[in-house]
Amino acid sequence: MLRTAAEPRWRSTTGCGCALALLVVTCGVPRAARAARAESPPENAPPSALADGAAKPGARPVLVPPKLVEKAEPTYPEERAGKEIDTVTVVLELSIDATGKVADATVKSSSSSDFDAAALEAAQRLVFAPATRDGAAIACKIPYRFSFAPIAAPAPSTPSTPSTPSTPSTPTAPLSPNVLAAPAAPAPAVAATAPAAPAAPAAPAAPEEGGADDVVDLEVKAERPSREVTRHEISGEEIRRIPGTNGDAIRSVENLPGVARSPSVTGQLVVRGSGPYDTQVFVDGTWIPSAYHFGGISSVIPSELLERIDFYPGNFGVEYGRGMGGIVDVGLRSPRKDGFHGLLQFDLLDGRLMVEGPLGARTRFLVAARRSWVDLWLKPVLQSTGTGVSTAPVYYDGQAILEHDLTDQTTVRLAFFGASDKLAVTLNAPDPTDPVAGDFGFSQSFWRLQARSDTRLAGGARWQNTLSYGTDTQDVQIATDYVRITQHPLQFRSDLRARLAKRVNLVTGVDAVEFWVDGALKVPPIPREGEAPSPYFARPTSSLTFTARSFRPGLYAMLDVEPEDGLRLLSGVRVDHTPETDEWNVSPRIALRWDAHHGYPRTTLKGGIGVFYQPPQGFESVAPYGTPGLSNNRATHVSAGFEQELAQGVELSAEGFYKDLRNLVVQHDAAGQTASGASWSNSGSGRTFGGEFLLRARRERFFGWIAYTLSRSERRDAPGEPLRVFQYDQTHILTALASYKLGRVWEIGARWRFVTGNPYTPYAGGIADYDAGSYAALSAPLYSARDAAFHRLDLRVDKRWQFKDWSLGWYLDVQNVYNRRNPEGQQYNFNYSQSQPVAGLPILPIVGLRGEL
Amino acid sequence: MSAARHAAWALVPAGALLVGALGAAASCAGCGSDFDPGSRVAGTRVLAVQADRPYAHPGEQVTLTALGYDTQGRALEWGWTTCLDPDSTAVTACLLRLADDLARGAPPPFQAGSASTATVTVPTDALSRLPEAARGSAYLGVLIVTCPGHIDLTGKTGDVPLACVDASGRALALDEFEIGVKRVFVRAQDRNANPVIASVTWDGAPWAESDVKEVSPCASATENRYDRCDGEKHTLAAHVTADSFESGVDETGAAFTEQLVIQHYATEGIFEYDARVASSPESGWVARAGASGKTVTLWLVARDDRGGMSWATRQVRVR
Repeated sequence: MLRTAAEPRWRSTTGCGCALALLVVTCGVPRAARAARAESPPENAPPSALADGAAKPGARPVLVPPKLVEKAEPTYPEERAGKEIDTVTVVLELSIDATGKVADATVKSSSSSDFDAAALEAAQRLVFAPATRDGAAIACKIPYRFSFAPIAAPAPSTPSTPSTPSTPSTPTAPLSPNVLAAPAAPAPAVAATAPAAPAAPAAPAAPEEGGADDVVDLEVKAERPSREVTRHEISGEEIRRIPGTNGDAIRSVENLPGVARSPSVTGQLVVRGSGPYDTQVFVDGTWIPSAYHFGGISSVIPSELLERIDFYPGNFGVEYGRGMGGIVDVGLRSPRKDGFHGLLQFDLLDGRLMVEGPLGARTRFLVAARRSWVDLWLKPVLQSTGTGVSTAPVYYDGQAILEHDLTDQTTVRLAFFGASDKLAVTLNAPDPTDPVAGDFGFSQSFWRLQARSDTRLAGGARWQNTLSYGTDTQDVQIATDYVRITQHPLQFRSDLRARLAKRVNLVTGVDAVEFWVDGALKVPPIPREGEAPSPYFARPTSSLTFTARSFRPGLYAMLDVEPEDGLRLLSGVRVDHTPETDEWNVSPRIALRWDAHHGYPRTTLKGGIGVFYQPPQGFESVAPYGTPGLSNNRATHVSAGFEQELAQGVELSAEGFYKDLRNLVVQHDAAGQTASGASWSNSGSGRTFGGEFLLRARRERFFGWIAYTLSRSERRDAPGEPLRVFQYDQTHILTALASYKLGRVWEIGARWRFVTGNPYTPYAGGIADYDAGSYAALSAPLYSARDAAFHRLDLRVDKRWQFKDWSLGWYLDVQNVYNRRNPEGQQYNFNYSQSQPVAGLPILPIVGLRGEL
Repeated sequence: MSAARHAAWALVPAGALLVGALGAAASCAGCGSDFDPGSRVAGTRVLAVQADRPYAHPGEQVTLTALGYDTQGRALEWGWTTCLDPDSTAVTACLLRLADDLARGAPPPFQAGSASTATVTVPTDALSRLPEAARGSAYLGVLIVTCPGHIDLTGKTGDVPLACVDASGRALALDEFEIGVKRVFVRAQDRNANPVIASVTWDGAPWAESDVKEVSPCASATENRYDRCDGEKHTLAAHVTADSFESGVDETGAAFTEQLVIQHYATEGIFEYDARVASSPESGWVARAGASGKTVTLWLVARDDRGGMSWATRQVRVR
C-alpha cells in the first residue's frame, strides 16, 4: 500500500490528518511479565490459557497489558505545516485506569509545545481494554508515542474520505509488508527498541514497574483488516526513494516478491509465473487497460496522485475477478483542502504539473498533467538513421478530481484520468530481414470518467458505489495492414462492508462491466506463443470489421470471522457470468490468518486457497476471428506462509505458493480453416509453484528490504504433452535495496537485482521465404534455452531544500551503475545460422528537478 | 504490450500483432551486429523465385523460375515439391508438411534435376475445399531445395527431413545449401502482375546490363559499415514502372495497395541500404578492398507484397 508525502498521513472518520500514532506499550507489568514468561509457557498465549495458568495455586501473576480499542488521531499543528522535514515524535506517559480510560497523560519526550499539545489532546480520546492481572482489570501506566509525519503542508482538517477502505502507513510505522491491519493486538510480551520514555513509575494497581526496554511499538492502523493472504505495501516515501525506478509508483512494485523482472522495455507485470495479460490493473476499482506508458517508461498515473497501491500477487479477495494472475489496485488520493498547492517536476523523460486546493469548505479539486519529451531527442536520432518520423514517441496523461463532502458521512467524487501514447514513422529503408516498408504507427489511449460515492453508515458500515465510463483505443499501422480497435467499458462496482456481529464482518458487492467494441483489422495470423519469426511481408492477410458487446455481471460476498483474538477466517465466493463462453462461474476462496504470537514480536501464520476464472480474450472467442464455444481459463491458487517480526521495524515473511492452471486457451494454426488462420481451444494446462521471502527493515532514517523469489512456471499445450518452461519463467529473483537519510537534505539509496535469464527458443537455422526475400527461423524445442543471468546496481541521490512556503529538490537516479551488458535475448544473422546476445540498457543516469508549493 | 487479458478483449490482438509483425524487424536478425549482411551472397543462394502467375486460378499451370547462384561455381541440383493448404501461412509449414508426409511413408511427388524452373498445377479444388472464410488466404506452397551436390530424401539435416550431399559425400549443413518456399496464391478471379523493372541507374545514369562498370575499392570499408568508407562511393537504383504499383479491391472485397520494395544483393561490397522502397530506390554501394581484381555481380530484386517479383543483374569490376 502506498502513501504519498503530500497526502494526509492519517485518515479517519474524525478527520484531522497528518499524524501517525504509534502505540508504545509497557504498562506496569514488564518485570513481572518477564518473570512470568520465564516460567509459564507459552509466551503470548491466548487469554484463556493465561487465565488457566493464573488459576493454578502458587503460579506467578499473569499480566496482560492494555489493548487499544479506540484510537484517536492528533491534529497536525497548522502553524507547523510545511516546516518539518523529519518526523516529529512526542512520547507521552499515559495513566490508564481499570476501565481502560486515560486518566492522565504527561509528556515524557517533547518536541515542541504545539506538537505536545496536539498529542495530549488526542491522548484523552484514546480508549483501551484495561490491563489485567490474573484476569482482573488493573490500572497501569504506559509510554505512548505519537509521530507526526514529515509533510510539506498540513493535512485536511475537516473530515476526509479515504478513497477506498485502506490502511494508512507512515514513514515511522513498523513495516508490515503483509500487514494484518487490525487495531493493535494485545501485547503481553514487551521488548525494547522504540525511543520511549524511561521507566514509568508503577501505577497504584500495577504489580511492578516497567522499564525503558519494556516497550513495544504497535502501529495503529486504520480500518481495513487484511482480507487476503498477502497484500504488499510500499509507502509513498519509499516509492520516491527506491533507486532504479525513477520514483515511479507502479514500477516500484517490481521490487516485491513474486514479481518477475519485466523483459526489457516492455513494461509488463509478470506475477508469480503468470503471463502479463493475467494481471489486472485498477484505479480505485476501475479496470484500465495498461499500467504503463509504452516501453514501461513510467506509469499512467503519476506517483504524486496516488494514495496507495495494493498489490496482490495471488489468492486475492472476491472483490476481484475475471483474472487469474495478480492484482494491482491503485487509489487516487483526495485533493488537499488546506490551501492551494502546486507541483512542478522535470526530468529527462517528462515534465509534470499539478495544482490542487479547496473550492469552499466542502469541495476540493486537483488537476494534473504530464507530457514526455522523449520525442525531442529521439526524433533526430531516428531521422539520422534515414527513418521518416511523423510522430516521435510521445506520451501524455492527465487527471482531474473534484471531491465534495455531501454530508459528514458521505463524500462524492468525480474523477477523470487518461493516458495517450503515440508513435509514427515512415520506413523508406526497410529491414531486409523482413522488408515491410512504409508507414508504421502505434497509438493507444484510454480515459475514464469515474463517479464515486462513499458513505459511512451506522454501525461502522461502509458503502461505496463507483460508476465509470471510458474509451480505450488502439491503432496499429504496419505498412498497409492495420488493427484499429475502440472499446467503451462501462463499469459499476457497489461495495458494502458491514459488521454483522462482534467478530463477524461482511463484505459484499456487485462488480459488473459492459463493453462495446468496434474493430477493423487487416492482418496475418497472430503469432502463437513462442512461434519462430517468419517474415511478415507478403504473408496472406485477412480483413474484417466487427462490432461486439459483452455484459459481464459479477457478485461477491465474503464473511470475515474472528473466532478468537488473532485468528481470522475469511471465506467468500464470487459468481461471474461470461456471455462469450456462456458460463456462470462460481469461485470460492478461503483465507486464514492466525497470529500465533500476537503482540510483539508478532508471528502470523497464513494460508489460502481459491478458484479464479479468466475469460478468453475477444479475438480468441468471438467469431469470425476467434473460435466460439471456448470455456474460461481456470486457476486454483494455494498458498501458505508466515510473517515474523524479528525486531522493531524488522520483519521476515515467507510464503509458498502453487497455482494449478487448467482450461488454458491455446492457439493452433488453422490457415485453411478459419478467417484468422488460427483457431483456439481450451487444451492448455500448467502450473506455477515456488516460494517468496521478504526481509524488510525500517528505521527513522533507513528503509530497505531483501526480496527473493524461487519459482517455476510450466505449461503444456495439449493433454499428454510433457510440461515445458513457460515464457515468463524466472527461477531466481533477488532484489536488495536500501535507502538512508544522511541528514535533513540528503538521501542516498542503492538497489541490486539478480534475476535468472529469460527463457528463449533457440533457432536451428532458417528456410527461405522467396516472397519476402528473407528467411523464417526453424525452432528448437520451445523455450529450451535461457539468457545469461541479469544483474544490475542502481544508485540514487536526493537533495531537498525546504523553504518557508515551498520546497525544491533534485535527484540523480543512475541505473546500471557498473554498465553490465545484460542479455535481453538473442539476435541472429539473416538466415539464422549465427546468433549473439542482445545487450539491454547501458548505464543510464536520470536527473530530475522538483518543486512543491 | 501490457494488457489485461480478461477485459481488453479487443486490444490484445493489436499488441500481439505488433510484436509479431515488427518484433523480428525490431529485435531483428542481423541488425547492429557483427554479422555479414544478408545482401552479401556467399555459397549457394536463391535470391528470388518468380511465378508467371503470382495469383493463379484453380486448375491453372504456373511456371516458376528461380534466381540461384553459387559463388563457388558448383553445379546445383534443384528439387521441387508442393504443399496445398498447409496449417500456417508461414513458410515453415510446408517443411513440416513434408516431414509429416515422409514420416508416415507417403512422400509427395518430388521433382529433382538441374533445371532452375518448374511448372506446377493448382488443384481444381484448391478453393472449393476450403471454408468460405479461409479462401482469402489460400495458396499452393512450392518447396524448393537448392543443393550444390545431390538431394537425399532419406537423409536428415538436423530436424530437416532431407539432406544435401556434396561431391565428396559430405552432408552439408543447413546454411550450406538452401531450402525455401514460394507461395502461389490461389484466387477465383484476381490476378497480380509481377513488377517490371524499367531501368537501372548507376550514379543517376542509365545502366545497361551489358555495361560492366569499373570501380576502385574503398580501403577504409573493412567492416560491414557503408558509412565508414571515405573513398569511392556509387549510387545505384532499380526503377519500376508506374504500373507496377497496383491497388484496388480484391475479390474478397478488401482494399489493397501493394508495397513494392527493391532488395539488393552482391557477391562483394557493402550497400548503403540492403532494401529500399521502390518509390525511393536509391542506395549507395562500395567495393571493399578484398574485392580488388574481381568482378562483382549485383542483383536488384523488385518484390511486391502479393508474391510478384522480377530482377535485374549487373556487374562491376573492381580495380
